[in-house]
Amino acid sequence: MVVKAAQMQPEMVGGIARGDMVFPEDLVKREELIRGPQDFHSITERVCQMAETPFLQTPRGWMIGFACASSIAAMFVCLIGYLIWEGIGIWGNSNPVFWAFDIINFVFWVGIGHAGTLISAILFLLRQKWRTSINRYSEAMTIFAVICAGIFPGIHVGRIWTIYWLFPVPNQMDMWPNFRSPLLWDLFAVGTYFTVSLVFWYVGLVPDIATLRDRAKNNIAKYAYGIAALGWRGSMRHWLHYERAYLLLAALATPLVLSVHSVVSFDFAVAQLPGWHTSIFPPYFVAGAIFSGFAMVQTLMLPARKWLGLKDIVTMKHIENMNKIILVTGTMVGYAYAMEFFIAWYSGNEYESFAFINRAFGPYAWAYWTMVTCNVITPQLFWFKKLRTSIAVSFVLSIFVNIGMWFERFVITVTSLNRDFLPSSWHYYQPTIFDGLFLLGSFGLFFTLFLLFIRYLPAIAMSEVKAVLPMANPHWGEKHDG
Amino acid sequence: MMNHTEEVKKGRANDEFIEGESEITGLQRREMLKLLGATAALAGAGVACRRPVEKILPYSKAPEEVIPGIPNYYATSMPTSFGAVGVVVESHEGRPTKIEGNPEHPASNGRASAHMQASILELYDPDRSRVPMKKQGAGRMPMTWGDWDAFAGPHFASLAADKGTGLAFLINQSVSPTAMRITTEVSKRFPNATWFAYDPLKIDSAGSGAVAVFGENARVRYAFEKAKVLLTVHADPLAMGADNLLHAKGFGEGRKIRSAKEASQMNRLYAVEAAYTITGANADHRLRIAASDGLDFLKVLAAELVQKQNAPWPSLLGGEEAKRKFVASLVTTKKFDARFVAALAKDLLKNQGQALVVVGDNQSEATQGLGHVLNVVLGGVGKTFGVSHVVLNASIAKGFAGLESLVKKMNAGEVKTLVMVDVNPVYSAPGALQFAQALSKVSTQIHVGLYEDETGLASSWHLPQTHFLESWGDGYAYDRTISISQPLIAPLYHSRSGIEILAQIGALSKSKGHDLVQETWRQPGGLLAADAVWRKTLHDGFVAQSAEPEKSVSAISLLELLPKMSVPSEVSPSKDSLEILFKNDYSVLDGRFANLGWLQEMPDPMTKLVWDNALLVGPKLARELGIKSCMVKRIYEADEVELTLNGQSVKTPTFVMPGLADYSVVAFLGYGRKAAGVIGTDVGVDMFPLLPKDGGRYAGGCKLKLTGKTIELATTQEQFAMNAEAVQEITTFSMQSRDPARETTVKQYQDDPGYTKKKGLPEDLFREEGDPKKLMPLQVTTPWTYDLNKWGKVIDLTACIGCNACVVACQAENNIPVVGRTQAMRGRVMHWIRVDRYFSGDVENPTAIQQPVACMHCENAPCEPVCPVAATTHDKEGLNVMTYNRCVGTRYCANNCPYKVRRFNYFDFSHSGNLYVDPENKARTRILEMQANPDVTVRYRGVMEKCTYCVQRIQEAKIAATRNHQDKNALPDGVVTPACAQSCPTEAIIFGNLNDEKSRVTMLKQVDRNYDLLNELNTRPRTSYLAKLTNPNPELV
Repeated sequence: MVVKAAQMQPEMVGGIARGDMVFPEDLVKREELIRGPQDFHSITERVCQMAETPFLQTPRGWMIGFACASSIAAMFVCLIGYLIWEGIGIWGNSNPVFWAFDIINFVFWVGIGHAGTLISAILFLLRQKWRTSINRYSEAMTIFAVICAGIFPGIHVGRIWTIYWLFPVPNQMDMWPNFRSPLLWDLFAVGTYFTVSLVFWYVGLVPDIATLRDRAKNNIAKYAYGIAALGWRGSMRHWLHYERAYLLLAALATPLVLSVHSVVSFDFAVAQLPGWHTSIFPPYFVAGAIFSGFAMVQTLMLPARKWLGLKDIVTMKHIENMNKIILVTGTMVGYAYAMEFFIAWYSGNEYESFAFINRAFGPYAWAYWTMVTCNVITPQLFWFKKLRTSIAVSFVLSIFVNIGMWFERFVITVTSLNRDFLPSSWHYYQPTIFDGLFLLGSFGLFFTLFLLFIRYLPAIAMSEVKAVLPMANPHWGEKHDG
Repeated sequence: MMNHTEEVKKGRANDEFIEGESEITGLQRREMLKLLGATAALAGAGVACRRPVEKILPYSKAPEEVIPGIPNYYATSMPTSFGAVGVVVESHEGRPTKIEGNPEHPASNGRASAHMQASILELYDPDRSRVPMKKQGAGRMPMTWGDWDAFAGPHFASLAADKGTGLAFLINQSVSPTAMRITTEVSKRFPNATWFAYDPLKIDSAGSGAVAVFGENARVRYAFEKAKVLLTVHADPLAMGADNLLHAKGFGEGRKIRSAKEASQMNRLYAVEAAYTITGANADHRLRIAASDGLDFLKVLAAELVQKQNAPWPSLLGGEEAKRKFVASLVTTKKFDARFVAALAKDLLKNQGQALVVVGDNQSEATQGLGHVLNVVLGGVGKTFGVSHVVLNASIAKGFAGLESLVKKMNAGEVKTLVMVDVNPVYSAPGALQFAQALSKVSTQIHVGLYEDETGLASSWHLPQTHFLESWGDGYAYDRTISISQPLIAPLYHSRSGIEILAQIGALSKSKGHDLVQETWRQPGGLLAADAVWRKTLHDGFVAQSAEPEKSVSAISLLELLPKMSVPSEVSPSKDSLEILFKNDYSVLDGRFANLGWLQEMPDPMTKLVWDNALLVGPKLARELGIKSCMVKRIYEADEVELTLNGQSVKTPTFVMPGLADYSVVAFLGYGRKAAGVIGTDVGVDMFPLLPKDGGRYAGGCKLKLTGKTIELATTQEQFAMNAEAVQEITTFSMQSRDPARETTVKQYQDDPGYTKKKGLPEDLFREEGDPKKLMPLQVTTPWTYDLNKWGKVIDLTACIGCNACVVACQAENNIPVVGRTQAMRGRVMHWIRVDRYFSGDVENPTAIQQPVACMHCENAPCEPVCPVAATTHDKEGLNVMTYNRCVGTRYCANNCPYKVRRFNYFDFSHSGNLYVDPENKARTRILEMQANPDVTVRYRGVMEKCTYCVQRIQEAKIAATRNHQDKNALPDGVVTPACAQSCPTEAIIFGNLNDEKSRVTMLKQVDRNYDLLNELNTRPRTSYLAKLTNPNPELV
């Protein structure tokens, strides 16, 4: 396998090589993406190390983390059972706040699920080579986030046992679902996104799983990785097909990055509720999703990078690049917030104006200002290079952004609903303990899946990282003296 | 049975399939097999866990008159504190399911109050007592009627041997002729027995003024429909007390203004009061004065009228001498808003013969009397009010005075056996009487009642009483119309009616309720002796033309009244010596309805509190005392106060209510029951301990002290239940031009009739010229034309008084569940129609407007496109229909409804389908579900629901029309009436076919005050509103 990577076609993988041709090394010295004395073998060793650790030697930290996460996930499953048994009245949803934590959590998780595909697909198409160190990670995160996201609309309906009516299944009633409903669009958008992301992730995993298969010592691992590797032998033909498929999938996934959250935003924008009915929502939601997605990647990656010893692979350059994206998207989100206020005033629509004044100064002002602080103000610190290259600051700010983006969805959903057209139906929404536990539970599920992923699958795309090593350059080692 | 209704309903039997439902025809063998296979597969696929199997048994011998699926309607009468009210009861296969007003009965006119509607729930209350109970040691033992008979026979025989010495009866202050007859009969067996009667809803002072002015046994009835200028003084005649349905109707008549031309005909209501009543909320002018200032106010008004404005002195009142003495007695030191009094007097005088003064029952004899004198001065005799003479059973000591003498006798050990029928004095006697303590000195207490309540538990025998729908009875309406009650169903539990038990005690020859009532009326030569007359009476529910005729007034004992008027003015209440008013609660009255969930969850018309009572305190007093009760998040956090009156004290939460007299606080009776049943026990605070001994409804010298505790209350409307800053916030940001309940004055209306219609609609969305039908926002798509029926509704805000009858009527008709206090705090009340209350103006003295809101059936319904499974759709008649079976419960429709009229079943509120329902609840539900209307689906957990325009009634009417070979798409106007419109006492809700050019609803839609709520959203609601018209006196504006 190691050898094969070096045989890749220079056009496809030799970014640095080509860069070198355009910009001779002594004119523009590009920062190397992978640090330290790494070679093909050491990358393999480093990445496979976790997956190959025998069960009994599993690191204590992982065990503790998994024990916590899986207990919370188990609680989540029980809670869902209780919810189905008792009814969604166990949540705090009311009249008029018919949607609350259920939809907030859904949008929050879908948003998180955006970074993965963005990193994988868009950055891939844009030839952003630095993505290789983090793409596997963020794709996995995407999948797990979308799983968490998908659970909420599924369980938030009143009669979960009839949820299949949302699917266009031929039935004895001759009833199609209502294709005019944004919820249906949502179902298709998220469904498509999940499918494509999963396929994309899996296709990318195949060469690396083959590596694990080849190195596997025990039978279970041999069979498991063997089946999952789909007979990958690393032949030139395999690589050719693989690269083409990957490129096509990237092209297919790219519009989805933009479409999913646009469609999710239609759930709100198509309604005529002041505060929801806004044409800025699709771009605003996409920016917000990327924003939150990158923040979540940071939150997950910074500790993992340390614990898994991947500092040479995930370098400060990656962290800094991601912080830059957080800064950009955070500012875009801030612009959207300001624009919403402007339009609310400029439109002269009193309901709209009230909705926004109520957001900022009404009973949920605390939520609004939490959101603004976390999403708009704190990311501005990334203007300073010193701060955006600080691990601690990056980590703390990424948590802030996660909180801020959760509150953004809270602000949109709850503050708009709790005071709409007729003052008589205004009602303050207060979550119950179950709302909190369901949110916690979804994190439990997410981390359970994530810990399983870093334990048993290559958390870094080995084959791609190898491609950006200096020795992957066909001209590596050659002297150009003149 | 009512013939006309029968005819309308019968069509259904022939149409087994409701129109539009698919029918399986021409089934082939193969298809049949396929279907069978699919059914079996589905049954195996877990569908079977949905509903428990319920076996039904067909009649082996069909009873006469009962056709399954077709309700029967029976006329009967409901006994109330103020006389019998005629009702028509809908009965499905022998189960009474709904109470409507009897259109022919003079006390009902086809209208039914919230309490009448809710009494059907009382019938099926699982907490009613089921068998006789006897005290045994410290506990209570269930007994049989045989045990009781074995006890009662010798017990009363030995008392009879003593001529009834030591025997006392305390009965409901009934207006039943049979009960009265039986008491006389019983007295023959026990000549020495003493009789008492009381009813907490009746005040001893009620009607005393009429007696003082018009002589012995006089009773005054008001004709609100004939009055153009009305003044109420501490009275709430539109919502409470005798004849309130008629008052509301009459008042509504004077408010049916359909054009600017008619506006000058509108009546004008002045309310002078301390509390903020429903009547006050409908007043054009409202003056806040203390309840104790009632007499002084009327004196000042009388002086203004007679002295300053020289009202003609009617000869009825005597000559100049009488006038001089009268004027001399009008001295008072109190001052009232002189401008108000002058303008009011002028207005009253200008409308001689059309002016009416109504003084509340809580006011003194002199105050009420002075009110009647003013009515005479204003020439209202025989016009705006009539006087009749009603002879009541004089041998019974009535009211709270009677109760007090009973307690004295009990304490003196003079009562050995006390029989209490249909009363609950242990709860509802004034605290100072210490009734329970006195009762314990009686050796044998016998209580007859629907519930084993506080009194039942304190008695040696409790006997379950039948509900009025289970028993024979009779009654006089307030106008003395003879009304008969007939049973609609055999007693659900082992119970007997009050008259049956009294008859047993008296050892009368007849013992069955039926025979007892017959004996009263059908003696040879009796009024109803002839079979045909009796049958007609049962059919109608009452005896036509049997009301006590009004007598002409010939002499007025003015001079006897004057000394009573010359009492010194009462000291005005102050911060340290407050005045407290005791009011019968709008929901549970005196607590008799405390166990009815419908009424507990019916929001108070003014405070919008549910499941609780609170002491109402004005904003000014609240500031002075540091009371900060207000809405905090979703819950009303009420500061608790210790309320002290005459040494007795009670801890109660407070509610800051604008519009009260500055130093008057208002307490509601009927809460804090200790043994009401599962629903009503320990709900709210019992105020009876503070009630003055004489049952008087206001008292001075009351003190409040904050305890530092806060109590959580549930309210259905957070708006305006807020502290001062929040009110400021609302008024600044939202209500400026929002104006959901539009309002205009007569003058403004005459100047610009289209004012309320245009308001709020952006100019560019409004086409002024052309066809009036096009006076609506632009529509991008081609509008659907509704060629068949096109249902619509108009709600007249001018006529709506906010009495909540529609809310409970809807609940009864549409099987709407009750959710309870905790869920109400979460905003999950299920009412399909709600009454929104908005205050405007000065926070101390705001005006109020009531607006019923139910599903608008928008033509461009925002709920429809967002439903992912098309569970809510439009039908071809323009109804926005909800398919419960299809609903998945995403709740998106409700989010997108700008009126927020959709209701979601967050839990299994109807107890209809959860796999596990705890046995106790299940048992309760088994009884309660007998009330359910079989024509309306009971909704299970997780589905959305909302007003259907009573689609079941529309279908019923269409089926009946088809059966009668009539055009089901051209139903005559008025054939379909939704439950809300049917019950509305003021006819504020009108429903009909908009394609019928002559229908009332079409006419009303043409009125220039007609507007669509939130029309700027282009939802095109089918329900529209007639803007509220107020008629302020130009001199007071």
